[in-house]
Amino acid sequence: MTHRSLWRIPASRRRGLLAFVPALLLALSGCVTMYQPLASLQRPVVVDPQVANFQGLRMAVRCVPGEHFSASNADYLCRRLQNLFTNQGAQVELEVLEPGSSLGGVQAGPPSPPPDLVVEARSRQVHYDNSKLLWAVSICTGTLVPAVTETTVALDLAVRGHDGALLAADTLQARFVRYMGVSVWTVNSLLNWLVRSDEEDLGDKTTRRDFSRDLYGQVSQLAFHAHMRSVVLRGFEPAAAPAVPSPAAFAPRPVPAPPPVPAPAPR
Amino acid sequence: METLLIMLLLPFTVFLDRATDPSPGPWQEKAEARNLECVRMSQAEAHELRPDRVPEPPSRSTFGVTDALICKRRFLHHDERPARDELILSSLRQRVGEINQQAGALGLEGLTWHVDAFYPQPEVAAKIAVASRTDLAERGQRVSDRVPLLAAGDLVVLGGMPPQQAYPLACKRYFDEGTLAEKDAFLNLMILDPREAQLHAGLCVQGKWTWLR
Repeated sequence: MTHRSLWRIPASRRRGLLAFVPALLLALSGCVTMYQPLASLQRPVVVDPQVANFQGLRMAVRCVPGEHFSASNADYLCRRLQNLFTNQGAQVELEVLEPGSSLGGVQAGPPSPPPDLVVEARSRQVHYDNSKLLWAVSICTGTLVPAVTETTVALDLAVRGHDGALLAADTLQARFVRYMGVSVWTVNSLLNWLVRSDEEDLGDKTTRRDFSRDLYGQVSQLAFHAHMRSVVLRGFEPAAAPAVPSPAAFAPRPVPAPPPVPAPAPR
Repeated sequence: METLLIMLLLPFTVFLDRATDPSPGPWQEKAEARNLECVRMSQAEAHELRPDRVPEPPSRSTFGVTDALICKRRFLHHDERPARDELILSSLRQRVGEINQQAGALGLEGLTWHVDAFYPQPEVAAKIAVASRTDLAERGQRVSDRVPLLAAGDLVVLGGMPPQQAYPLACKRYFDEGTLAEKDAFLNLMILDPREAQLHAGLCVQGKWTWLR
């Protein structure tokens, strides 16, 4: 279609066509998200999330939605955490609270025994950067110049005992840099294919894998520390929790490899 | 031809602009990015730290004021030490400080403090004990380098007991045998499970054992 023939198209269809061009460019261009662990997420993990670390323990997972943490996202995170702890032998109930509501409110029906551990999760957005100018340049150049979006999110975790005492708390922060453009997608795909090993590959799939591995590992470690602290604070009184291992458990053994991503429950 | 060359060079303007970004990418591998410790702070704070890299925020307007991600490379990479040792040692000063503060809050006065650590790796155990002694000394306590010892027979019996029985009994034996006197306090730092990377602590005074955390 020549420049002259474009102007022969009726104005209404021309506008539609012109609006279609950026959409087509965006659809054709690729998106690459890089994940960078910030506070605490890159720490090593000792506990193996694939073994029964919380056998017989009653746990509750509570997710509190907030300004940038919708109820559906809170529900999604809660279900993932429920699955994580269930895989490790715990009996887990979950609760998605309204923002600002108090924890441990009055329950309808017969009172159930309080959970041994309560994992409370809140998420917030620490930083967001999205340059409209760069988006305009990206579209004008057919996404050869990539558009860049940057988000830093924090997950505040607190683990409480059956009496509400705070046993462990931590804040995990992750930074995601998303590049949108055909050039960056091509260069990254070529590097993945030719230069990088499978573990070093960069892209959306590996970002999800790496972030899940870090997040689930850190949450498991934090919950295990809280569990051990509650065992000590209880004076080693027998509970549903597994017994403290004998000194034989301290025999030297290889340090466990980084935990693989637990299989998430389908939504 | 020139147009094609310009179009091919266009993305590199953005790539070069992002070359100092600490996230993984064409210029930085994932492993390198994981060994950075980054903190996000306001432009004013960042300018105080690195005036050569971060410009001063404008004094008369808020336009263009942003925040900065300040990163520093770790001296020891995360995979250079076993995971548990890394976790214990990387926050050792803070952890022993908290434990000693808890011990100090018991209100024990005029005691001589002895410290020992029970950790699978003896080198790490020595570091934990030294860190705790140093912190106690900095808090103005009288600290001894001597570590109380028990007889071999006691150790055999205690070795077969779970921690909740072994530590209180050992404390009693220290006092009964005269290894610890009335004016001695024996602080024990330990891990109780091989899957954890946090220190527990207990205090032995006059034959009585108290779990601190």
